[in-house]
Amino acid sequence: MTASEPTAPTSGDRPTFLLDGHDVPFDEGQSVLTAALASGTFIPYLCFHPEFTAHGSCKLCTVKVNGRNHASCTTPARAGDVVESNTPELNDARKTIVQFLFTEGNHFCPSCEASGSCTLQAMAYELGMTTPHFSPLFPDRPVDASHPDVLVDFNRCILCELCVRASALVDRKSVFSLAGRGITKHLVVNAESGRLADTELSVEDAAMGVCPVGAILRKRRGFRTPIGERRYDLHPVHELAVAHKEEG
Amino acid sequence: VVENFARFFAHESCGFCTPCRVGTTICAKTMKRVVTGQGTRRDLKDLAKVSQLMRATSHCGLGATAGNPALDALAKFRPSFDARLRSLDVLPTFDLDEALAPAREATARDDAGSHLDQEAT
Repeated sequence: MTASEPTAPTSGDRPTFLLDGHDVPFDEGQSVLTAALASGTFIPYLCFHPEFTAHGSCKLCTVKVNGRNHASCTTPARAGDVVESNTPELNDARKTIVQFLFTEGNHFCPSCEASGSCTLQAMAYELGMTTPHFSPLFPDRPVDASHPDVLVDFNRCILCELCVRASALVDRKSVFSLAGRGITKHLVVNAESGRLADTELSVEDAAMGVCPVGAILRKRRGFRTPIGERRYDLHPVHELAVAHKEEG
Repeated sequence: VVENFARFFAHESCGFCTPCRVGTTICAKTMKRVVTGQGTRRDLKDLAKVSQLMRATSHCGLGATAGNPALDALAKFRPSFDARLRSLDVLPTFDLDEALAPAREATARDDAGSHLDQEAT
C-alpha cells in the first residue's frame, strides 16, 4: 500500500478512505468490507461471500464510519471516510454477536464434523471467545437426512442465507429458504414435503459449498480430514479471508 | 413494565439480523428471571450489555431502540431492580431445590433433608 497525504484521499488514480489510520484504495462500487479485504486488512464477517450480493444480516462486520456504526459489507466505500474497525469496542461487540449465535443454535464443536473447518468456530477463536456466556436456548431442530448424498443439520444453521442465495442465483434451484420471524426464524427446504430428498439438490451444487458452518454436509465425508490439516488448522481465518479475496 | 416491553420486542423482531433476533429474546428471558425473583446481579449486567449491543449494531430502528426501556429503567430505577434480585452476589440461574420437587413428590418426602439449602450452594 502506498502512503499518501491524509488530506488528499487518493492512492495513484484510485480514491481512498481511512481504515484504522491506514489509507485503503477502492474502486467505485466496492463496499468498505471488500475494499478492506482487497487491501489485505481483515474485518470479521460470516454472512458475506465475495461471489454474492452482500446480505448484511450477521452484523459481525460492523465498523464505525465517521462515528456511526454500519455493516461494512453493505456500506459503499466513499473517499475520505474515516473508518474504525479493529477497536476493543467493536471487537467486543463482535464477540458478543458470535456468543449470540452459539446461544441461539445447538453448536457442539467436539462432535461436529465441520470442527476445524467451521467459520463460526474460527471467528470465535479469532475474537477470543471462551464461553457462550448466555444461557443456551436449545432449539428443537430435527436433522434432515432424507437425501441420499446430503445431510442438513439445522441445529448448526446461523441463518447467513448463503445457501439460499447460492441455490437461487447460481444453481437456479431455490432449494433453501428462510422462514418464520424473530427467534423462530429458521432454514427450510423448498419442497411440498419439506424433505431434502424431494428437491433437485445434488452434491455438485454451489449451495453445497458455501455453508460456513456444519449445517449442509456431504454424506460419507465426515472426519476425513485429519486434525492438523483442517481448513483453519492450516491458516487462521483472517489470513484465509484476505487470501480468498485476492484470488477472486 | 420493562418485562412487557422486552417481550413485545422479542415478539416483533423480524429475525433478519443477529443482534436483534437473539438479543431481544435474551432480554425477554432475563427480564422474566428478574421479575419472578430469580435474577442475579449478572442478569442486570447482561441486560445492559445486550441492550447496548442491540442499540449499536442492529439493522433497523426496532432493534436499535428495543433496549431503551431496560437501559433507562436500569439507570433511573436501579434500586427496584436490586430489590427483586435473589441475591446481589453471583447465583446460578437455575433453582436446584425447585428441580428436586418431582423427586420429593415421587418419594413422598418433604422433610428438611430433602430440601437443598440455596444460600449454602
